[in-house]
Amino acid sequence: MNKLFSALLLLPSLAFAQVELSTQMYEVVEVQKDNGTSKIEWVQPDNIIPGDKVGYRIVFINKGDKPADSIVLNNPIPENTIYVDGSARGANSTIVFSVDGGKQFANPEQLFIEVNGKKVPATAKDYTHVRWTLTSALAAGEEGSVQYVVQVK
Amino acid sequence: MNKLNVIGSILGLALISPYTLAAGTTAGTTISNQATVTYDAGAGQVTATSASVNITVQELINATMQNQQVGDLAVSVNETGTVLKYTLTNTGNGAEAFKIVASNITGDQFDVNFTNVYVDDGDNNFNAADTLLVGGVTPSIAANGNITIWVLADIPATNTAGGAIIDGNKADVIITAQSKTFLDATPAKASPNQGDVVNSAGDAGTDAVFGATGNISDDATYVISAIQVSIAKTIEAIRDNLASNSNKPVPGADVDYQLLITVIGTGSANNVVVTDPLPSSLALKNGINGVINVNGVDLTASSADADNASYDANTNTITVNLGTVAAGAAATPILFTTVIQ
Repeated sequence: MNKLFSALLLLPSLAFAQVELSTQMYEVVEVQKDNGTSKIEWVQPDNIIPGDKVGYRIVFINKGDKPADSIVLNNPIPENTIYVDGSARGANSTIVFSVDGGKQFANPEQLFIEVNGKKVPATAKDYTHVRWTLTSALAAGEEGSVQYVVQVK
Repeated sequence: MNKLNVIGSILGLALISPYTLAAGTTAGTTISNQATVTYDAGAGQVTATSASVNITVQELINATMQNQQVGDLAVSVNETGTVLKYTLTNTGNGAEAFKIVASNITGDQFDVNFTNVYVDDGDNNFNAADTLLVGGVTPSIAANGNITIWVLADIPATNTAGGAIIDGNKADVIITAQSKTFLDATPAKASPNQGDVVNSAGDAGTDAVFGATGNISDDATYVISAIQVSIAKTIEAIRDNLASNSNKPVPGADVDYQLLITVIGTGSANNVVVTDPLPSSLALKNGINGVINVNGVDLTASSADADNASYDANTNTITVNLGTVAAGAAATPILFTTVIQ
C-alpha cells in the first residue's frame, strides 16, 4: 500500500514519452492542368459521393520528454470504403495489411482469403486494416505522419 | 477542376467507372475513421487513439434510360396509341423521382405526336392497370430500383415537309429522364452538368450531386411499315409404305407437309408464331418424339425442350415460334411428316 502510494506520488515527476495522434481527412482529386497533364491533389473534402477517393493522413507527435520506441500505428479501413491499392505511405516504416479484421498482418503477397472454400490471393478490396511499424524511435518533440487512400463504395 | 470526369481514369484498377457502380453507399451514411498507436513510452506499452474523423456521403443523382424496343417500332399512318417501352434505373445512392420528357429529333421524315406516359404496374405489359404519369413525373425510385415506362404516341398522316407519309418513312425521337431534384432547384436545371450540386436537396439533408454525363436519355425510331406475313401450305410427298408402292393416301400412309412463311414490307414482324392444328385424320409421325424441320434444322417435337418447335398430342397441333422476322428475309420453310389415321 505504502509502496503503491509513493509510486503514484512520484508519477508526475517521471519522464515519459507521450505520443498523440490526429487524423486528417482530404478528398483526393485529379486536377487537370492547362498543358493537358493532370496531377493528384489532396484538397478539403467537398460533397463526398460514391466513387470519390478520400485520403487519410495520420499525424503523430511525441509530446513527452523521452523518446517513444516501437511505435505501431493501426488504422481500420473505414466501413463503406475500399483501400486503394498501393496508396499507403510512411517514411521509415514498414507497412502491412490485414484481411481478417486486424487479427493477423502481413505483406500484400502473403495475404489470402477464402472463396468457396479455396484459398486465393487477397486484393486491395479485401483489406480490413493498415499497420505502420516505425523503424526508429520518435524523439521527444518530434512528429511524423503516415497516409493512405480509400474509395467510397 | 473537374473531379467527376477524371476519377475513372485515376482508378485504373477499378475495372469500371465509379459512376456506373450500382447505387453505392447510401446517401447520408457516415464514414468514420479512427487511428490507434501503440508505443513503448519508457515504462511499458501505451495505446492512444486519434479523434474520429467523419464524412457524410452525399446523394449522387444518376440513372439510366434504356429503350427496350428491338429495332425500329413498326407503325402505320394515322395509328393511335403506339407504345414504346423504356426502363428507367436509378443508379444513384438515394431515392429520386424523374420527369419523363419525350421529344422528336430533326433530320428524319416525320414527327410523332406524343400523348401520355405511363409507368408499368409490374406485369411488364401495357394495360389498364398501369399508372398515367401526371406531367410525366415518375414516383420516387429507390436507389438501385427500376421502373418500366410506356411512352404513347400517335402517328400523323403528313411528313415534316407537309407531304404524305409513305412506307419506310422514319421518325427519330429521344426520351429523357430529368432529375426532379434539379428541376425543383432554384434556378431549375433541366439538363444539369456532371458535378452540379443542389445544396441540402439530397436524402437525409445531404447535398445532391449530379453524376450523369449529359442527359439521362435514350433514343428510338418509328418506321412506317406495311408489313405482311403470309403462309402457304403444300403437300410435298405421300408414301403409303405398301409393297405396291402406289403411294395412295391410305390409313398408315405418311404425308409430308411444308409451311412456307414469308414476310414482306418494311421493318420486322415480332413474335411470329405459326400454329397448324391437324385434323383428327392426321397425326404427327412419332408424336412428341417426332421431328419438325424449321429452316433446314431438325427440331424435336417435344414441348419439354428449349427449341422453338413443339407438337401437342392432346390438341394435335404443331406450334413453331419464329420470333422476330425481318421483312424481305428469305421465306422460312417448316417441314413435318404426318401419318393418316
